[in-house]
Amino acid sequence: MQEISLNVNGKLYKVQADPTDPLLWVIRDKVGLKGTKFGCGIAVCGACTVLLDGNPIRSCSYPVSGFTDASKIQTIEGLSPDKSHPLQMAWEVEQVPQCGYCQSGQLMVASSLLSKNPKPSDEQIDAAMSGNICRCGTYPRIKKAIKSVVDKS
Amino acid sequence: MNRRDFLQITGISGLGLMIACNVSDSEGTPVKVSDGIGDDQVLNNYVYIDPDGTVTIVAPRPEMGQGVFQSVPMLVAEELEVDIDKIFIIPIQADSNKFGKQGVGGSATIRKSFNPYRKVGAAAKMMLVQAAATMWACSVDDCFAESGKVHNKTTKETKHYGELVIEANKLAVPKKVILKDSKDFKVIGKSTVRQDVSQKVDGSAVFGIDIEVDGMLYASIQRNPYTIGKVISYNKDEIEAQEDVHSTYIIQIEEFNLIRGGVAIVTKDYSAALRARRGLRVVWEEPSIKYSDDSIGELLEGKFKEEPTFDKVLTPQPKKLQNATQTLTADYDAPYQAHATMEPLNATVWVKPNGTVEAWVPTQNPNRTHDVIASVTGLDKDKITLNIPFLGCGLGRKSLADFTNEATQLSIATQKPIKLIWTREDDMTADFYRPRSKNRFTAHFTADKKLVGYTNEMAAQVISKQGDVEPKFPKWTFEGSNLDYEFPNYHLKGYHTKLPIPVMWWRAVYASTNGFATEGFVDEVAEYMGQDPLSFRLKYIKNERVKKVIQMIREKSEWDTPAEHEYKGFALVESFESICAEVATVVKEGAGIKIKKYTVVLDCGQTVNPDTIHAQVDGSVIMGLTATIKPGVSFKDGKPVHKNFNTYSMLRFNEVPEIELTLMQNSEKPGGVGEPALPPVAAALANALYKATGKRYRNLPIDITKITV
Repeated sequence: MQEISLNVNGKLYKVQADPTDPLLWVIRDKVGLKGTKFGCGIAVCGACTVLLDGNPIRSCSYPVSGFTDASKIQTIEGLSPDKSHPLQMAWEVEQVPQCGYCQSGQLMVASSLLSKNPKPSDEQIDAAMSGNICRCGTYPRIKKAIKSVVDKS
Repeated sequence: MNRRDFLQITGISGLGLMIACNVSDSEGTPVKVSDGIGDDQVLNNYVYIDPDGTVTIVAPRPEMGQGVFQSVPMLVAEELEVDIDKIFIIPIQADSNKFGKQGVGGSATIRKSFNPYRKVGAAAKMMLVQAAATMWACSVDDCFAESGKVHNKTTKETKHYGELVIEANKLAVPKKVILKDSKDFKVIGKSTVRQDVSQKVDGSAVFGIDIEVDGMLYASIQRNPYTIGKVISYNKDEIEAQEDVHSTYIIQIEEFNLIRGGVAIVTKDYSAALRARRGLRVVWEEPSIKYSDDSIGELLEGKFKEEPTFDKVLTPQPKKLQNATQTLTADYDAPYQAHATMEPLNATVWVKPNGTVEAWVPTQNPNRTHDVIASVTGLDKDKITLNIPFLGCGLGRKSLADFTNEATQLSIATQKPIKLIWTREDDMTADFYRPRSKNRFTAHFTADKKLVGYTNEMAAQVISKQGDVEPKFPKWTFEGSNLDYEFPNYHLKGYHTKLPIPVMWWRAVYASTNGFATEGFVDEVAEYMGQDPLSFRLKYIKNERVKKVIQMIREKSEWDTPAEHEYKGFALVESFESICAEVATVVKEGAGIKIKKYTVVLDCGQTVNPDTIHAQVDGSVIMGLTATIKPGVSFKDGKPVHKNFNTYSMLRFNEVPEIELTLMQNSEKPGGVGEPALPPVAAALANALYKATGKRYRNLPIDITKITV
């Protein structure tokens, strides 16, 4: 166990963790932010997606030792303080979530896509979102919600 | 609040307007409301009314994405006469005394409890109206309820429910309850915003895996890789010598007469448990025969040579069969499937030193889970508080209480709160799978191609008859086989098969494999007879609702006018009391094909929240398509081969076809919504591919990347 400093959603956290602990579990159990989810542990499902300096990473596969407080981590809790991110609002309008478990990861990837490319084509949306699994099958509504935000912008 | 006995009477009143009713659970057993919370705000166990008139309605069933968190309160709200967008919905614990059966699965919540939940709201409303009438010294006929208020028709005064609840609580629960006519529905049948969705866009929704209890320890279990069987020994001392490890135990559960053992590692920190597992060395009990896909297939196929366990001719017409001169026969095969709920299995259980238990389990079956905790601890259920957080998918798997059993045993052993989390590999390799199924069909024809006989032979494991029990093949194992087709000499033969592979209900259960096999073969029969598949169904099904569905899909799918290089396949499956027809449209793309669209027509009778139905159909088609074109679970030398999503692929965002649903509008008895759109998916595709390639696809999965047109 050693002390790890993490910058999560603009706030500095100092936690005790084994250097090999996946960032995912440190965020969930030590920092205490449960919105980022565990789905597979091998970086193929996307449920654990957080943003690192604006880029999506699979937190289940990053050992926490790789981070310093200079690395800006954003989780679903940091997307907005009050569900006001345009994607969150579109997600509610379109009633996107069914069980909701994968949706934090979906939203983080979608937010990263739109912050880099505010007018993505259908193909670009497909390419960005195809790394995230939804077992409930909300893909059609995710697409509709993303496109509604693109159309408004 | 005094003890209230809810409606026990059956029988129609002389007025002819009142509807006889019991408030009953999903099995139809009258439910008694217990002593109550002792709070003047509580009208019954489902409805809380604050003095200011704010209404809170309980969501009594687990929410796993199927929308019952919203749709069950909608039923109560409709009859209670409150505005759906003004009520609050709260989740509730397991309590069979207060809430009867609380299980979800089998697409049963709305269809089996549509009226009981409405009666809860209607009874509460009647009591509120009576309270107002008493306070106004008028008759109840001078009053009506609307939007959370009782109105006096004469004086035009109103009282909101908050002003009435204390008086209403003094009343006896009415013995007869009037339910609204469907034409008067304000809420039922209209899409409403789900109250749980808002929590699911900002990470605040609490799932089972998110639960934290002060002082809790984490547990991770290495289970027998042969899917069942015990632990013989393991390197206990070596593992327990590690600093991070709190303790280790052999944990064993039994479900469906199958025993599965594992070694549990308990730690203060979850990642430490996963690290410690890498050093585990276990000697496992091994099965006497280690099956692989081929040997499983041979075993199933060999069954057709044996005496069937179930043998029945639904429509015996032996004279017709004498004229048979030709036969058409085909074998169909569908593999094991894993549930792969996005949230892997987990349970948090705290067996406390004071003889009570608190548990948090994302379970589809609160009653069963409650019973299992009681049984493992030896405590009465009223000493056990079972909280039900949101489920990250259920799909059938979370109906079992094996994972709760494991966590309970560990809490007893450690005397601490235990949080047990299954890894994805655990979840996929220690599943109870959708059973593999082989079908052999034979159709008999006269010389001029009249159908005179039809036999469906099915070999599969029977979920309720696993382990060392007397073989049986219940008729419901043929669900989704369209037994309503009026084929002459419709002959069913079921072959119970014993295999050491645990199986259980997966979404749509046997209808998922039966729908594929039946609708694939019926397409072959129609073709043999030179008939259009839709017209063929119209000939052999008399049910008017089914005919309407077929006519609707002919139009919606543009069945008679496919575009160039477009190929359409049809399938119809009646399951869970709903009727679902689908047309899959595939198009030529390059040298191969692309799945362009699924046109779906669903008759599920009276709808409650149509938006939820659209979502469930999307989900059913996508899950059904995954099971059609992606690998199933393979077995090799007794072990499941697929361990994670890298090999057990899910359909991805860029692979989803357009899905268009038409909901038939009627006020018929509600049918299932969560599962019926899954069974037709595979056959619709296989039948479309036949048109594109001239080849029949009788074995799943179909690798569409290898198809050339």
